[in-house]
Amino acid sequence: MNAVKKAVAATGVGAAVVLGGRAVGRRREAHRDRSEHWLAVTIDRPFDAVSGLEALPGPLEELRAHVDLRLRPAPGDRGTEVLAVPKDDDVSREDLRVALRKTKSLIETGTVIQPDTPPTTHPGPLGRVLRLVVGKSAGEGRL
Amino acid sequence: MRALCWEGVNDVRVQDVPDPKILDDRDLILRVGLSTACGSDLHLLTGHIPFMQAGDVIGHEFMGEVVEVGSGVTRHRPGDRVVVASFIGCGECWYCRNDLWSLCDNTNTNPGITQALWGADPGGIFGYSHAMGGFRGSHAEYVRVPFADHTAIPIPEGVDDLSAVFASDSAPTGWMGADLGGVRPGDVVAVWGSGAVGQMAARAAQLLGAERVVVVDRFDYRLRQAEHVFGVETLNYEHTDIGAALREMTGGRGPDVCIEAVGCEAHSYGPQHAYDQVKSKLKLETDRPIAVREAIHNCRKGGSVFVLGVFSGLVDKFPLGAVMNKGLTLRGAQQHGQRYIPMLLDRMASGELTTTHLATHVLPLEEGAHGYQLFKDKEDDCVRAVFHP
Ligand SMILES: NC(=O)c1ccc[n+]([C@@H]2O[C@H](COP(=O)([O-])OP(=O)(O)OC[C@H]3O[C@@H](n4cnc5c(N)ncnc54)[C@H](O)[C@@H]3O)[C@@H](O)[C@H]2O)c1
Ligand SMILES: [Zn+2]
Ligand SMILES: [Zn+2]
Repeated sequence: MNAVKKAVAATGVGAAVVLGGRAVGRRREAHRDRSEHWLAVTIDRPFDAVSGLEALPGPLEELRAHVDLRLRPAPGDRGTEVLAVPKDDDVSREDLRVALRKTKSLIETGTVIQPDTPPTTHPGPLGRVLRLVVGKSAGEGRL
Repeated sequence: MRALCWEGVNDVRVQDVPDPKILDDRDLILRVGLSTACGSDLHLLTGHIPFMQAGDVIGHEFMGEVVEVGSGVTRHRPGDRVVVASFIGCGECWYCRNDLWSLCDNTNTNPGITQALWGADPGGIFGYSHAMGGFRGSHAEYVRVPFADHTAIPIPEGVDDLSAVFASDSAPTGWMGADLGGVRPGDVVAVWGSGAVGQMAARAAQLLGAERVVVVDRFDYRLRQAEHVFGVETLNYEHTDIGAALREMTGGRGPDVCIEAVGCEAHSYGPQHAYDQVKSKLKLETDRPIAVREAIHNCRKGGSVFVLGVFSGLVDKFPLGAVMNKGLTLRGAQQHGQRYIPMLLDRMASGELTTTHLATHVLPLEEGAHGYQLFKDKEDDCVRAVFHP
């Protein structure tokens, strides 16, 4: 069964994902600006298990109204690819990156790891630049 | 509690810091028994890894006693004696499930930094900068261990604390270099660096069947240790032309496997060193790959080079031509501790793997700054400074 048929056949999350609209073919994926690309994570769980969930856990579900979402099996049965892109200005790509990562961690491990609090035991002024970078770092990146 | 904090370049101090708390039901709190300085910390001290803030607790190679467990921890109970892998692995992602623990997808809390630097984020590590997760380190009285069922490993009876502490990081790192470097029975293996990591790689190569193992360094006291404890051959690059010596030892072929256990602050003499120093001062090069270059240059045709030393960014004058034309296999990794630690503890218990000689200086945590100075400057024949809180 190919990816699209699988997604259509699935219930729950799988049935709700956007397949038309901004859905993209492989050829078109290569010909767009960085800012238009779908953000993606691979969850190390079978496609049927992920697409069969009632709802995706964590922040991705909260953003659902504002994002287009696609699920497809990763090649070689290596899990489920979850792709998302903001539909409107209510969701930034940074928020969406964080949400994808957290949802992946929740499905794989049941939790999202926390740094120690406070991560630095006596934060001083020199660390301000680094704290800015770190503060944004969950949402920045390549994903 | 008291903990050794990074306070600036070449400035570490023991301070009062808040006690760690259980933040997730998969966490445990460890009362640290022993925690050793590691060569990787030197890259933090010198500012090679810039993502540090004053007040960050350092240390990542450690063992101790479990004092508190979250409700989701099933494999450990208060009172257990455990060694903790330096890299935190969730145990559930593709990388952990494929025994590539240091590449865990779910344990770096600041993934954006390394994604921008390297194209992807490795897992989180204790006490090793905000780029690697921002977790507090182990040079402290207590430390929180996330995903404790996977990250902490029970120490069997018959393995004492001082042996076990090296099962946390240096022993599995060395083993990985020999294992993933593809050491096979009958091989000739050369190891650059006679610190704890290099010595562990040399011993692993022997145990995997290498016929000759040669360790390269410039500190005789370290080379002597490797010779006496493990019976390897040694070369001091201050007195010997390493390339010529290796060719002679291998009938002109070169070693089958070359393991680099030196890292980004490799030392050398002459124009090459000056060149790398100027380049790194001008920020045109972040790391000095001197031992890597030498390993690649001297490896036999079709051989394999494994980079265990830590590098953070860009290197210059990289001998890609040699890699390509000699058909070399080049690999590197942060250590996949969870994959090897139980086996290494068994080998310690059976007497096959000796580690206590590495602990040349066992000091109270309060003397942490002094310990790092000895270790960094290789004074008083220091191989490792090990702290007890
Ligand atoms: N891959 C990992 O997961 C991992 C884990 C632990 C440590 N490390 C890295 O391994 C390296 C070694 O760690 P260590 O604790 O043994 O450090 P160490 O400082 O005790 O030992 C390094 C040794 O390399 C020698 N050396 C320097 N320049 C050399 C050269 N040009 N040729 C040959 N030898 C040279 C030094 O004299 C020293 O004895 C460090 O870079 C450390 O960051 C990596
Ligand atoms: Zn280390
Ligand atoms: Zn993992």
